[in-house]
Amino acid sequence: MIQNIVETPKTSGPELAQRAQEIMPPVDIYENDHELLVLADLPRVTTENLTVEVNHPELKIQGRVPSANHQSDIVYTRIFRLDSSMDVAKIEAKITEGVLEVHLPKSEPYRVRKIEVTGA
Amino acid sequence: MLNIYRNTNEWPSFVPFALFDLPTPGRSFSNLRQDLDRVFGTYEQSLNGPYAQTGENAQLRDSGSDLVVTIDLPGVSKKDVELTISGDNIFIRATRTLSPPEGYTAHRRERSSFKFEQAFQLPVAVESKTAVTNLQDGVLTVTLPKSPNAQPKQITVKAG
Repeated sequence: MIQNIVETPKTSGPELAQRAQEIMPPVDIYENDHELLVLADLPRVTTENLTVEVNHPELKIQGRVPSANHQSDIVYTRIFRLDSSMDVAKIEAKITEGVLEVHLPKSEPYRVRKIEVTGA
Repeated sequence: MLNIYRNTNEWPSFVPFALFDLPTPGRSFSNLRQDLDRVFGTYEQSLNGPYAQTGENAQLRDSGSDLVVTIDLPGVSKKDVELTISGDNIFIRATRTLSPPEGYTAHRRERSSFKFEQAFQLPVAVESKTAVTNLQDGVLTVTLPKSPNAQPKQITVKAG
């Protein structure tokens, strides 16, 4: 199990309107030597209605789809707890074709580095 | 480019026509909605699940002059969508193939690859030549203008 990003249970905030359907969107989490990569399916969510927020140690992803045909709004939410290995200032996010990508770079001391071994 | 095949009489043999009620005179919009719900799972049900199941959120809207079909297809590009319109039948196929990005190891994989294939029957005939498709924000929108006979008409009632 990974320790650097752990999901936290979500509590409904007062900001959610009464007529909102809450959904946990499916998420993939990948890691390489330099970063964690979080992918989330957020169809119908546009950048104006999407927030990616880091309030250390929490990473909160929330997207809203305004209601059509007098149905409820849809609110997609996932919250993860980050450990201190991420460089919070360098987190980047973009959304393409309804898929959100969040890049969480590891801070310098936590990056995997190959050390060249020299002979005597 | 999104491929649109119009007025094709050769339907793929696996199209599950058996899932649909036989067309009957006076078949209403709500029948179609029930068909869609039965095939896709109801919109409400899919919202209540632990995760939104990709591709299950299909909606049909009657805007008066058009029928508008929307389907959630996040991460699907235009080349992976195929749409066939024939009279009042519509067939949609979309595929999403996911693999871990190169050089990364996976810690959690909730998003899945899928092959979405569905045929459904529209309550009225549509003008396939002027159908407009749009794939944006992970949503496929197909706008199908109703054929002239099916357009809503306002009848003026004259005083006797």
